[in-house]
Amino acid sequence: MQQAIRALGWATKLLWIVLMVLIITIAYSATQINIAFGQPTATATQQTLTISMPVNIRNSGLYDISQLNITTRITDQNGTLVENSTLTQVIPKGANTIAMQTLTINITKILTEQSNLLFNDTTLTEFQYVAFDYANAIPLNAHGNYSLLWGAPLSNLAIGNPLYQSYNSTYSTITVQISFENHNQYIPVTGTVLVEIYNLHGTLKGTGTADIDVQPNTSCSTQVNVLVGNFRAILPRGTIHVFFETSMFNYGPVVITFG
Amino acid sequence: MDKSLFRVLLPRVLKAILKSTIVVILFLVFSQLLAPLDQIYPQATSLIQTYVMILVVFIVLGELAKGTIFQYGLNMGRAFFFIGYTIYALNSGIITETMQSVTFTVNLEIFLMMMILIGTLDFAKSLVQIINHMATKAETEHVIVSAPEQEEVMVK
Repeated sequence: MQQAIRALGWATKLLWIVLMVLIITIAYSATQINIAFGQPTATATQQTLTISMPVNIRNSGLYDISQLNITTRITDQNGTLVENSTLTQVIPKGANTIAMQTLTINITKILTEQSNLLFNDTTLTEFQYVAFDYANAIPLNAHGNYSLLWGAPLSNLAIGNPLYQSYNSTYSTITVQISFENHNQYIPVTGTVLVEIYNLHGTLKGTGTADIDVQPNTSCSTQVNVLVGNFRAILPRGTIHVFFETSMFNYGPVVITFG
Repeated sequence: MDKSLFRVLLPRVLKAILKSTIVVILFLVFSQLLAPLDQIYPQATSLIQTYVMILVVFIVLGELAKGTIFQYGLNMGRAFFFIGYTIYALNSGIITETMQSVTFTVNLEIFLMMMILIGTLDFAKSLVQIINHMATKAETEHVIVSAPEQEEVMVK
């Protein structure tokens, strides 16, 4: 029986030593891990906004980091707008790794589905999630929510009442004043504004276009001239349909009635 | 106080004080090493402090009850307490802490398993020690009882 007692005593002592060594080295190593989120860069190309954010992970601890998962999700009050995950298999001890977190946003798709983002500035929620296994033994994760300010590219859109002007004996010109402010910091509104004038019966009476180039955080005020035949036929009331066809998004029609 | 009792108790008390001092010094050294944990899990120090205080109580009582069956009973109680307190302190292995707007979750189930294993081994050891103590005591009583009988047989 004495041998059994001695064996149990040694087993307990051995386990205590292993446990203490593990606790101290892991606690020390955990303080030697540095995760830094770099400055995000945004690239706007054909109807796509790409936001890249470097995540610098320096593992100066005594153990490897494995199964590193970085997830970014941007949501508004209606749900998820965009989500992306980056998985890195192993970051060995002593290594310095940069995991590039890239969010690709299809602007046309988002703005078509959630047109309020075109006209209203809002606060989006960015959810960041980082998870990894440390020393292949301790799963660890951290997550947080941050606020992102979204600037509407067509903020304060105003379409003025049409102004009639005789062009010649058979044609008239209708001038439509359009103004808005581009509050977005990434998306330029560069392209064409198309205006269609309909009479009360829904018959297209004329179209006109104007080129616009509204860079981020600037405003725009432009006039679109529409040549119509016999303008009296559409008086006194009708509708104006405005379409935006830009390099980043297409949207329309914005319909207003006049008269 | 009886002089013989004093002679028995004094070394035990001194030994208990010595052991407790060693435990407290070890705690102070480890708490320095684990100081960075405080930033992540502020309750860690108070939980370890409580554990060390109760451990010191068990050490003192264990030393005073040395050589009796109560010593092993106390060891069993300590093992039970260790298992229960570890489960409580490690929140069943999942620790969640929020710092500013970031929430951290650490899965320490592997440590919990090791600690439960240590507690179980300690408990088993104390149980075997109790059985051994009772067996030895019964054996000694049997020898004492049977010794005069053997003498009588020898005389006859």
